[in-house]
Amino acid sequence: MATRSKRETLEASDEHGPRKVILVFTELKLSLTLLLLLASIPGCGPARSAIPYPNDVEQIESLRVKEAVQVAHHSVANNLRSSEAWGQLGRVYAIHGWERQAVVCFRQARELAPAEFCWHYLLGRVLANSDPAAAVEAYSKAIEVDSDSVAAKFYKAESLNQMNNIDEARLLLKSIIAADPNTQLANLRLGELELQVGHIEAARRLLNRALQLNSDCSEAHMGLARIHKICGQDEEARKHAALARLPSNPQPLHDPVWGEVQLNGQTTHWYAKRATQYLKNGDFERAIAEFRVAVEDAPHVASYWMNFGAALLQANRFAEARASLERAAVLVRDFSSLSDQQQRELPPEKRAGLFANLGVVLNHLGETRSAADRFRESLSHDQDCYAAHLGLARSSISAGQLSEAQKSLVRCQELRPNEDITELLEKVSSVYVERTHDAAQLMDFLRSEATRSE
Amino acid sequence: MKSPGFQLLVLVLCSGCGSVVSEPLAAKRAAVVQGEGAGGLFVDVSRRAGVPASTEAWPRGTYTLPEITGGGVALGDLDNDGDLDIIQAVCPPPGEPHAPAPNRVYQQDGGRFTEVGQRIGLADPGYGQGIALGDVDNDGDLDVYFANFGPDSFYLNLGNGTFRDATDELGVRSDDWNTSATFADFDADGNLDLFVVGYTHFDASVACANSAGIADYCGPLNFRPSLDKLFRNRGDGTMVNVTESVGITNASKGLGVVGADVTNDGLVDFYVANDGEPNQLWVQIDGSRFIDDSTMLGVSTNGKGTPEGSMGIAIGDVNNDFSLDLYTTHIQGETNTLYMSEPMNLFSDQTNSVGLGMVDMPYTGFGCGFFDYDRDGDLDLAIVNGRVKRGPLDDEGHPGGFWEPYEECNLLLRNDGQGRFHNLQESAGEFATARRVSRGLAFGDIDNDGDVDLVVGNIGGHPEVHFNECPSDNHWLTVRVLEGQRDALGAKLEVQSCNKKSAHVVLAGYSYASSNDPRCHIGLGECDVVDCIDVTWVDGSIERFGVNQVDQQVILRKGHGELR
Repeated sequence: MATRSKRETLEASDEHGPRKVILVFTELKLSLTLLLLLASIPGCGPARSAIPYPNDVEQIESLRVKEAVQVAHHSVANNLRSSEAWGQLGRVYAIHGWERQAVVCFRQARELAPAEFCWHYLLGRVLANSDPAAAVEAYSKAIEVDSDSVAAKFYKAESLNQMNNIDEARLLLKSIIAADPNTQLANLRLGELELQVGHIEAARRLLNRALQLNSDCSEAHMGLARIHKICGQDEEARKHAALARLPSNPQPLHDPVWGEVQLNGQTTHWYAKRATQYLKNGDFERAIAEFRVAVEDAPHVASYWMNFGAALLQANRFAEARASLERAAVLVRDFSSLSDQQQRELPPEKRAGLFANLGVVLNHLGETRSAADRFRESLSHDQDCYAAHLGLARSSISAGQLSEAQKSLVRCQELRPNEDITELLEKVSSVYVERTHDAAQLMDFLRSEATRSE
Repeated sequence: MKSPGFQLLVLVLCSGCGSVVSEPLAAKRAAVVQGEGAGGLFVDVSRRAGVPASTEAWPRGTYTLPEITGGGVALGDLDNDGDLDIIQAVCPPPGEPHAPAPNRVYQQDGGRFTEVGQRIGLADPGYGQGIALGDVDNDGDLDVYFANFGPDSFYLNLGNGTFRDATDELGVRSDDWNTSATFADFDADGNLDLFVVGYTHFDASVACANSAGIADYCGPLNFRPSLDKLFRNRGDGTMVNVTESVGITNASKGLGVVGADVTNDGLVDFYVANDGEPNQLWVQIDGSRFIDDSTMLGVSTNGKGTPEGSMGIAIGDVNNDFSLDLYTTHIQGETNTLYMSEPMNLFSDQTNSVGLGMVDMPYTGFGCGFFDYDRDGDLDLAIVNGRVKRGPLDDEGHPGGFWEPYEECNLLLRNDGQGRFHNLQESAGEFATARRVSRGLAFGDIDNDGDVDLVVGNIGGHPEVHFNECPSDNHWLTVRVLEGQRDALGAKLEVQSCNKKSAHVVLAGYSYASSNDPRCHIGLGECDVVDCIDVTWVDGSIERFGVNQVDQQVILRKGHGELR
């Protein structure tokens, strides 16, 4: 209610009929008034009443989203001549799905700062789905400012393609590849366009290149299936067609400007998404910060707790990791009561990973017996969980149970023959190393035992 | 506009074609029903024709997915009186998923519709989604399959204008969430088989929100996929589930289906539009086995290899090359996709090159179909729209009800015959200008005047009947193709007229969750003669028929043509 007291919603009329206008700050200071008066004079800049404000903001349950909108909105109202303020409001709108409002903001931002690449580019991005021609115009201006931008060229090519301007799209994609032959998406898209215009060999070369750069690319397999079919190579075509139905994970473009937009996502989904990315990139502290919000918002989602725990483990925050992983374990143990979606997000190998991580944490906390139990629990979900076998070996060695350690280490070697277990043992099994003075000697012993038992 | 001396000319040409003359049918013309509203190419005649207004109050949604997927409609002559009747699949009101939701049946009599669902025993109370019509027992009347969220129902037509629920007796029990179904004689044994499309295993405990965190309907990604079902007709109308034994084993999230010979090998295939997953083209190999060849043939994803949220399917020969083209409708932000047939049975995404794509990208398309609204000899396109995710509210701040952010306008697109489609949204009348949450769309000549009319199924409302009022002097021919007493679904027609040929298929099941008038509506343009029609029956035999007059309805019966 405090927020509401600072704002008024007025009904105004213009030639288009009544318009809901948000006016901000009842406590107007003289300087701001003067600025607004200047700003509302035609030719002097944007009028305050033109600051877009989605009608459904009041329906949002998430205070963070509301606050992000209000802060960015106030910032614009405070400084109508600031391109950064307009752009930031545009970012907030864009990431939360208010594309029409984002368009208005980015247009305003680029008018105020036409030399800034990002406003042209972001305008193109938010226009792409509704007005490809306008998006092309925005991307073109972005490229005028920064002729090296791969992202602007790529998305301009996408919009050109939508407009059936294939030739120009191909030229742009070729220019991207000329500058950096390793841009996977450009190879992929150009390959698809070459196929569309009947340049079979060029298409084949580009799509194969796209696959070389990243084999998890269903789209490239799709094109190659078609090429082989056209060439009468049905068997090859069928192989690619089968691979084309697997989930795809093409290499993303380097796109820091859009990345900044994503930082503004305030829903749980965005926190979890960013956190997962930070975790993958090894930025554990930021992952922890983002996951903390996700688990607070959605404490029933096992995968959030699981990944939160993994991030904490990586950051050596074992006590917190234990709490988080145990929370996930409770949810996962009652697997049948999880939603279909959660169940699909937690296949056996992921569930095994959860319990293996929990085992590792317990080992670090000196609870070796409990750790061994968790490793066994991990293996009950996935018998091929390397981390669980390794952890179990470590626990067994600590407990002096050489026979069990032997089985686990042999299984580790089977699962990952190239993994240097001796070295790992040196790291994790100091107790045993102290006893035998030589980890290599231990391995020799274990291997000979394994051979004998076979 | 019929020319003098017309009949003599036709006879001479037919004689040259060496064919047996088709059987003219005295079509029952509906009384003229004046439209409502401002007019346009299509005029909403619903209320004046006896169908209640579609704007009845409908409760706020509860973000339960099935309440936003239903809405199929069907056009068929249920009482064999020569005109089309309407069936609408009805969902229970939001928040009352277990409440009976009797489907509605509007029986036509000379242009007036009367709701008779309860009286004729066809008011299935299930959670309605889709409808399929076909004569499964070859007794000359239409039987009705209802795909439901929950147990489906199969009603046998008793021949006296009434129906009885024969679901268990016919052996088609399916309790999954099914969205669409279609009849096709896939094994060419003279009996219609049944393909039922499964959507997802719904989990009511899953709550979803839009990008801003506002509660909204979940998408299909939140749920596990469901297997489609293929039932083979034993010959007496009873069915046996042969899904897995014929190789249909991959579950997906299906919404639309077409059963037709897509691969030009004489065998019926099934094309399934899947929501958020690659579409499937179940290609029949040898009469007993199907494989999903959609990826090989280029109809599983868009041209970029991206699976889309596919809903409805249109099928037809868009570019007059004697091969069937496919079109699927999609969610807002994706273009609908036109798959044009190419040599070697391949298809390519030609959406952008024919002027589609940009025009439909802002909409969430469901029901769709190719039809020649202006009878100029090439196939145009109608699409009904309605969001499944909340759309932006108007900046002007319309107060709006719950459903307003889901409402959209429909689309009518004209094929200019030169390979381009043009948006006729502004001239198409209320069909395209009124904002609704539309799902089902059925095509048929309701008033038997030689052009194709439209019936739209909207969420929470009665069906809308839009009469085709396109001012056109173009000639036409309506062809009913019969095998025994039933429509010969799957039969292919090659029509020769004025040194031109055109290809048509006898189909009822296309669009979304809907069933259509199975008669072929052939636009002839200025040509006022049809030399002959070659019919390729589902069993592969070909017969030639002559036509002695255009601008009428004719019947082609299997076994009555000149065998080729």
